[in-house]
Amino acid sequence: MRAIRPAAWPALLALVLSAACSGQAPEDGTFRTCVSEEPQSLDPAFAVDQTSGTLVSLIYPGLFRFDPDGTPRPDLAKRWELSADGTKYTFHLHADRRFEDGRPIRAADVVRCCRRLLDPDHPSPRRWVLERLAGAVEFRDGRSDALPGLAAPDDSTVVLRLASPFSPFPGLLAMPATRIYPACEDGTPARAGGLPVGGGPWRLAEWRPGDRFRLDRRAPAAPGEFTHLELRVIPQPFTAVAEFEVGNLDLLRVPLAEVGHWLDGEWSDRVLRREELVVSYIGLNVRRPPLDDHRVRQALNYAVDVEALIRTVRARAARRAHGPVPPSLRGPDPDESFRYRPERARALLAEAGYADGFEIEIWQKENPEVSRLLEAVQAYLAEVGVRARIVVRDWGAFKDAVNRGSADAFFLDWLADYPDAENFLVPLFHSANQGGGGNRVGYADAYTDLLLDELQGTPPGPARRVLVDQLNAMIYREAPWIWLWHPVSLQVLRRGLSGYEPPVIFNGQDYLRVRRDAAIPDA
Amino acid sequence: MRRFLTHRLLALAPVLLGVTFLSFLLLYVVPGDPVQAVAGERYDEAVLAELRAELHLDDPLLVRYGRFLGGLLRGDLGRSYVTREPVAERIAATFPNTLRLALAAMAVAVVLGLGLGIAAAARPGSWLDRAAMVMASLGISVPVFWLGMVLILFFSMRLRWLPPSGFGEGSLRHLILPALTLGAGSAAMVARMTRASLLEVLGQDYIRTARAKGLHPARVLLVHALRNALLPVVTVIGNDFGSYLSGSVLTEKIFAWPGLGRYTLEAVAKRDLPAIQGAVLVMALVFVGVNLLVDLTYAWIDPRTRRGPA
Repeated sequence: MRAIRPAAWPALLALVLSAACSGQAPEDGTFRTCVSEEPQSLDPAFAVDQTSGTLVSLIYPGLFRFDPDGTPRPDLAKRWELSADGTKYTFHLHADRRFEDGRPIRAADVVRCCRRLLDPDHPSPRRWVLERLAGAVEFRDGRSDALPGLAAPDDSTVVLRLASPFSPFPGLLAMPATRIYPACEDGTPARAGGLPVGGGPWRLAEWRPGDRFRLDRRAPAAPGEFTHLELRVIPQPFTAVAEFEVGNLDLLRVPLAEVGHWLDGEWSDRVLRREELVVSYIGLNVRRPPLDDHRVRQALNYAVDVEALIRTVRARAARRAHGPVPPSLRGPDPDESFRYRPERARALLAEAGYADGFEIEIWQKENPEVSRLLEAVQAYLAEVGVRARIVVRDWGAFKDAVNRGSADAFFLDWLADYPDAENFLVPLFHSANQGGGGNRVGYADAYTDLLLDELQGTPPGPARRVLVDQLNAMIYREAPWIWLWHPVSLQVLRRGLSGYEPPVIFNGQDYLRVRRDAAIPDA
Repeated sequence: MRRFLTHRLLALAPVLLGVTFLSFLLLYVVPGDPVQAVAGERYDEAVLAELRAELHLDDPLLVRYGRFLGGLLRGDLGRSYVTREPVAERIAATFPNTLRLALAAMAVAVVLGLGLGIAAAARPGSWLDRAAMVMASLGISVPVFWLGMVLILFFSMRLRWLPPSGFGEGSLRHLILPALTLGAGSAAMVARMTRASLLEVLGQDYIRTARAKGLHPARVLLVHALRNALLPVVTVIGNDFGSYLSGSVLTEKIFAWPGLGRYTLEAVAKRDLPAIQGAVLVMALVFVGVNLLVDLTYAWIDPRTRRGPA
């Protein structure tokens, strides 16, 4: 046998390696995408992070399910009615929906899962989702075993009665927390072979911790639609980009640092833009002087050139925030705007007695993109005499400090739980929700509370829209935050695929309509 | 040897006890509340108190530590506060991946490092020596993060030879880039140590005698000199192997490698005490075990170390 010449070894190695890794994913009916972290829990009652919420919403059914545009659509219910007083929801369930174990999904299952969410023996951080049901507070506190707001008159009818009208309620029933699942004896979601037994559009077929989830489609697939879904866990954005480039992912969320490359490069025609129901802000702790003075807070808003930051730090992938409520959930922007006016900022500071400026700490979690932003903000504030110190902490320490109110200012995003202006107003600015409830700046104003209470009971219509705009404008002027932006997500879908619409809310995509267009060659 | 082993094994208990208590104490004093990770972004304060009570976080430090030790004696590492899954299960799932990566990285370090070091020592001052030492300096100075990204860029995105990340089906091709990234630093250190140590040994009388007897230079280098030059090299390999087995956070993160390092990092960020405690315990055990192996290797390489000091 002739020996291979040493000079030929690299070529042989290349041949072997390239044969092992062709760079193109096989067309095996699997749609591949990724998430950045492991889910905390696949138990709907404890699914509080985005990855958990996404997976839970794919595995389990619910009374409602979000569309990509954020509209709650009936899922288990074939039809539903709302009483004239806006408090009684009656759902008529599909008779043919089943859990993965073959058991039909009955009204009693809905009642059981909803009761568990409120059960004082299993404190769920998401119990607030159903606290509007009649008798929920007494049941939650262990003062009553009865939950009159929840009933199953027969196998296919569920009646939910609210203590008072709340028009965004269908949105709450599309949240991960209100998914319906078969249960073990202790009430926790049933498992088989270590994997959850669901009943939603996808079945979790494989879970390799830290590596990937593989799901099989339960709903019938039309020609070209995918029968499997693979979610890789890829913490590093650069790595996700590499996986997409070599053909191992079909969908990529473009990292902020690479926006220019994707918008101008060969994939520019495949970039999908979507303004998400998210608001990014620098919270100003209104309980601490000098931030308790609204003139100081307004001055900080005038001092920062947000438009310039959107062009540079955000690579134009954001829309300027005029108040907490995203534009799609409200009317026109408030008349008065905090445009970049450093001279106005200096005047306001002088008026408030801080002509020489002051010192402030701005807290952030470890994140290079946030650091870039805050360094720019720090420079803007320095121009008007405000000496800002950036405090970087890991997520645990950051969250603890911010929730306890021990940070002067901090950068955060607020992601919608359900697509309604109320979700951007009541948790964030009602005095009853200070701290972990969402109002981390400690905003407390009796008149605002009054209007927020009124908003919760106001049915959809012109009066509600007026109230939302009034609250948004009022809070905007009071400036408890430095108003930054509503991020625009940029996602790239591989050529030859269609039917994917970026969701405005994290669990608003069920991947059922994504398809491979046979005629178009893949890139 | 038996006495040596018994002594070392007996010393294991206080070491592990100390490590677990210190980590318990550290997590107790650092800011950050584990129930806030469980609770998410919107919750009422009452549920926080209930969760804290359910997870026994209101108990005094010593009571909690005692409960942890009690569980440990029963072979139970407890359940994660955040995922509510048994910690032992997740460690059992991730540690073999870390072990696989660590072994591959050490193979890279030993093969590349010893090869370069021996080649450099065989011809001191030659171009080969200088080239080997330049490579070693680069290997030590280049950050893991940068090297990993460059390797992905070149071998995955440009040449399309290797997958950029992931565990795949456990195939070798998924292991190559992370192992090169992780092993490069050790390889460089091993190369420098091997060269320095070999050059020192090669200047000793017994080597001169061996050469005078007319032995082949390669035999003198590889049989007579190398064995005596290996002691400091084994120390480096042992220390690095121990730290790799404790999880290589950056490499595992860049290559989306499902190992113990990433698991521990996520647990620390969420203040998931049972998960951190379990991981720290395993890391301490591994480290002590590897050190013991290093000592035994010393004894094998140099029988004088078995007798201890005169």
